[in-house]
Amino acid sequence: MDMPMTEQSEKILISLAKRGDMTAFEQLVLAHEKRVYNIALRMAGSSEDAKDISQEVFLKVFRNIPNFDERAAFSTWIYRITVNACIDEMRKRKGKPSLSLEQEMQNEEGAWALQIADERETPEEVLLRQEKQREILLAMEKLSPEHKAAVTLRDIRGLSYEEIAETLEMPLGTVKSRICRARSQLKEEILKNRERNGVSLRHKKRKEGRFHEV
Amino acid sequence: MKCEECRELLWIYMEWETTPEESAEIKAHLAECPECRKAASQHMAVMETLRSLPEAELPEGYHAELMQKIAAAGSLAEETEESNETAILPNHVSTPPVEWKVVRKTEILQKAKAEKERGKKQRHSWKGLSLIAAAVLVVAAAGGISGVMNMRQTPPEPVQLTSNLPDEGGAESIQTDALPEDAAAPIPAAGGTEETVQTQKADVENMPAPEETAQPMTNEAAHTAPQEPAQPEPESTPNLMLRSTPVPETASLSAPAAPPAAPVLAKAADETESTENSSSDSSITPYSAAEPKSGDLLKLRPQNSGTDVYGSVLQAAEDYAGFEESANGSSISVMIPVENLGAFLSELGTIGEIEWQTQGQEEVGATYRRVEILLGTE
Repeated sequence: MDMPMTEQSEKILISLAKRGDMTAFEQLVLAHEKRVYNIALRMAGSSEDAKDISQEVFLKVFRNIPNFDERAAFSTWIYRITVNACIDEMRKRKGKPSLSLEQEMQNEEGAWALQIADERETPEEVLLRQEKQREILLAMEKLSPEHKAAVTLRDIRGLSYEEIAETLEMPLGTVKSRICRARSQLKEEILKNRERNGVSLRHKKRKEGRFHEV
Repeated sequence: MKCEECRELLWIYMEWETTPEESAEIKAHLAECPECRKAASQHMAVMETLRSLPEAELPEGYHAELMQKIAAAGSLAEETEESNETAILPNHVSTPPVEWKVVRKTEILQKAKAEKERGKKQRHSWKGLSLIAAAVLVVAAAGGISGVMNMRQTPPEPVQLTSNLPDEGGAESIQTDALPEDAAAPIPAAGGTEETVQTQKADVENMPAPEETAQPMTNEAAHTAPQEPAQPEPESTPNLMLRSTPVPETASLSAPAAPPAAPVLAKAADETESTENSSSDSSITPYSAAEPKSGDLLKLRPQNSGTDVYGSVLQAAEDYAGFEESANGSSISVMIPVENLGAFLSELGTIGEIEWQTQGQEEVGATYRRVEILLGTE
């Protein structure tokens, strides 16, 4: 996935796809499916939902590509469809993903997703990082769909503020303040959870260390 | 500047997106406020963790499943274009008009025509099953697309090869129907037909569960089989990138100036689906190195004299998971995976000018295509 398609190639594929060329359409799918899946994954919280939503997104793209205005950016269009599909789906489920976060973690893909270890990390560091990731994913579940979208696109996908403004069809200023708000909420949620659980991460780490020594 | 304001802006400050005035104020405030400094480091931790979330891999079989759904939607959507009613049409043709409750009388004639068309196309939506059952004919008829589809998808459990579908009847040139038969009749109208596609799509998606499909499908097949000749669709459109014809519809391939379309194709060879397929029990046989079959022959004239054409071609072949078959001083023959052919040819286009000599024919069951390149040095 990591060969970026040039803008020109993409335009050619789009115009072929508009005329019904399935091979061209498939190339477009290949270029974007992982990203779309990942956006859906972070917004919906479960790999099952993410699969359903993201595949539905491509079906929508397929049905609507004849109407796609080629002057617009294709990825922006796809991401917009993705975000909206996620928001709609989450509203339907009232924010409850198909799998709880814990189940998701146990689920092969979910667990794998969190466990890519950097060779430079010590085992304790790996555990610590995973713990933080778990915390943040839990905290994300508390965000509203719109705030989740903002954080996902910015901090997880790395889109620019301008791209996000276009994708979400809102002014730049609103995007920035929404992202700030979302991040603040995440932080508050994390701190609250830590307090509630009565442990600080450092404390936990020391505890684990002691077990290892025994 | 108050702490609250500072903390709010800190997020943006850390991304270098604050205005110079704001940045100055924040800096000044942080210098004298240890609480905000602490807040800043917590902010940093949150950002770091967010950014450390890895990109998850697609679940196994995701792409194949997706393409199957899309192909199904393509053929179904065409038929729904012809009817104005959504989700009311019966699935089988034998229902007499009386039962079509919601249909407007004026459309009875249209319906009859639609049914016939749909009958033809409904079978096409059993893509997964019929492809495997009639793979040979499909590949021959529909050219590259079905080759690609075949390669890509994970076949349903073998049980279904002999499942409830009675007479598969003719071979499906499925994808040619998914393609427009004339360039002007593209894919589906958007919007309104979505509902229908959803409900009918449900049938198609349930395909892997034989119990569920027994009913509508059986009727369909029984009725429509006699209607259709068991032949591939004669008019397979040449609008297939993999055909490697220099036809204008695939202008992107033949024009030397065109950029390589979708280098992502190379990745396709790595998809897990393709490994699943190679162990599948489809009747697509891997390329057998028996007799040379007809392949593509072209002459390549490098843009700059002094280009190592041979080396560039070989590199391009390898980039697309192909390999050299033979070479002599004036030509090189390479084998390229069928699904990468388009991209490979585009790549050749960047090396030099392509002058076609012979166009290859699609081989039934081939996974590789031979391309012979005359190294034009004059």
